[in-house]
Amino acid sequence: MSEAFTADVAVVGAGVSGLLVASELVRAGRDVVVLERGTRASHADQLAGDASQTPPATAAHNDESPPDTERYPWDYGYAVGGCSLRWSGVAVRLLPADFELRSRYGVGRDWPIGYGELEPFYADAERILGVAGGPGAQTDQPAHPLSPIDRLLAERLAPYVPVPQARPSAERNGRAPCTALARCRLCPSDARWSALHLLDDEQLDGHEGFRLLEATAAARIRVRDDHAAVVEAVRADREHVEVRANEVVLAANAIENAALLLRSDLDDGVAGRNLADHGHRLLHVECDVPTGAGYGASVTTGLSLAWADGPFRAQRAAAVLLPVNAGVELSEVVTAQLAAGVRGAPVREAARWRKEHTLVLDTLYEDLPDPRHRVELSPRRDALGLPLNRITYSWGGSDYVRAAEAQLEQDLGERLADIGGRLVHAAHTALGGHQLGTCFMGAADGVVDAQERHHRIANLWVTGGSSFPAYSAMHPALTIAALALRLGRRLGAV
Amino acid sequence: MWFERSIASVLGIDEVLARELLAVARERMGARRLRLHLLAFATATGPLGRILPARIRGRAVGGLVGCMLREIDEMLRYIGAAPAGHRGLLAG
Repeated sequence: MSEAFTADVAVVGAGVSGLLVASELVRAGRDVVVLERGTRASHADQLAGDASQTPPATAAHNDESPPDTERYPWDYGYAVGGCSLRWSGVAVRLLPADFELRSRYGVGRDWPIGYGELEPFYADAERILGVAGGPGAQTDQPAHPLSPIDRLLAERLAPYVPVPQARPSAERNGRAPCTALARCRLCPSDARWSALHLLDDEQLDGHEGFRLLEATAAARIRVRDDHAAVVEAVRADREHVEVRANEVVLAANAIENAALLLRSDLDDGVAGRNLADHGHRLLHVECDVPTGAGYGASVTTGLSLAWADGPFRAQRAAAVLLPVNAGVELSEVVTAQLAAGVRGAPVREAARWRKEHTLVLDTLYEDLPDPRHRVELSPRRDALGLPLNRITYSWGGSDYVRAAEAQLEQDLGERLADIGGRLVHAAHTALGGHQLGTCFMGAADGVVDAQERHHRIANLWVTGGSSFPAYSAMHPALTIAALALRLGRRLGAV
Repeated sequence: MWFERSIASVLGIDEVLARELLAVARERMGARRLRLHLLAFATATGPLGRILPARIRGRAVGGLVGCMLREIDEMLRYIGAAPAGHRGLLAG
């Protein structure tokens, strides 16, 4: 038995991209059906789970690694709201040079669009997400002030700017501003933007042109005569669903967008390849002076662009650096002391010294596209009967990234020499959250064209992190939002 | 309570703060799990703990310590620094 829907546009995925595309289309008077594998949990429901933890996904992951390989920690969740339920809120634009990596530096790829094409959509995305600070800063959302750590580092790691972030610094749409409790992955006050806000703020909920099918996984796209005719889906209860639409938009993450193309026999030899993630590398730097750790208007408030761009990108990756205002995790320090047999006041004193004198610096690196990093379909199937997504991906970074890590860490010692800065620990962490590149925009070699239209199927559009031809070192969320707005407006104007 | 005195002694803090941090942990993990973690903590930091490998001792104490010192305000209170939990202090 199956249930059938018709719409002007079918959108797969109810995360940042999907709901932004949908809101633009609904505003333009289109009927939209959005399919989402996960379910909807309100902010209150999420808090009821565990206010200090990442909200749980509402459906299990369905990826696997090839046999005998280590599983990479992909960090995403199926849910209405998608990864916006669990992001830190950093909402930076890419740099103009990020769109021209091949032209400027002879490596990687150029985007088929330039910064100027995306600029107005960046500005609108900043408005919709309530971004505080940044190039498009709204007058009612000034940047969060620099923290004591930022003030210690700003000149030493120049150029250094306030982090644009989707945590309003002033009341907005009836929501309180950021409360600065440093629990941004699940914001206690719902100030940090999530795509759920669109359902309220853009009045999607209850709009006659908007229908959201939760717990409904898009299984494949039925293509006739190079036309995407039907989205076939399966609900959590295994009932089948069909959505007929004039246009189909894939707006899931880079793993799922690619997998859906592969399940639909739309494997052009490129779809699923070039999967990328940002290699976060967390650095602990001990200093002779107090750092001011533990204070700041949010998790991170400053951004060093000292390694973000330059001719060096011909040889090594760009990087950005963001101090973590909270500083070291004291539980780790205290546990290590106790495990070593230390007791009493010396434990607390060691913790105090480490807290006050240690900088924790989050560094992100771009990498170059690698077609060996890919999503394929496994012979194994998930609970819905869909093939698991088999993901081949290894971290350790390429030589391009490793050279950048080494240079940054050497530079850091020199730039922080006057405060006795010395690197005491470096580890890759917080991996897996920025899935990019599997359906990239390109002229003939990409999966979609510069408008995010599939090269062969004229009414099929693919948007999100999967569209990135090159990755930059910048957090991708704002660019994903800008691409979605651009696509939504284009389809709404047709 | 003996375990509050024990926690205070081991972590180098007063009993009032130990009680408050334990209350936070109890809220997060529930009374039953807290009792198990307290038992593990007491074992690992007591005389028996001396014969345990450091790795095992770390695992035994880590569950409780991680739950007591999870958020920034708890960390700051532990080291005796001013709390960060309101915007007045957070203005940078």
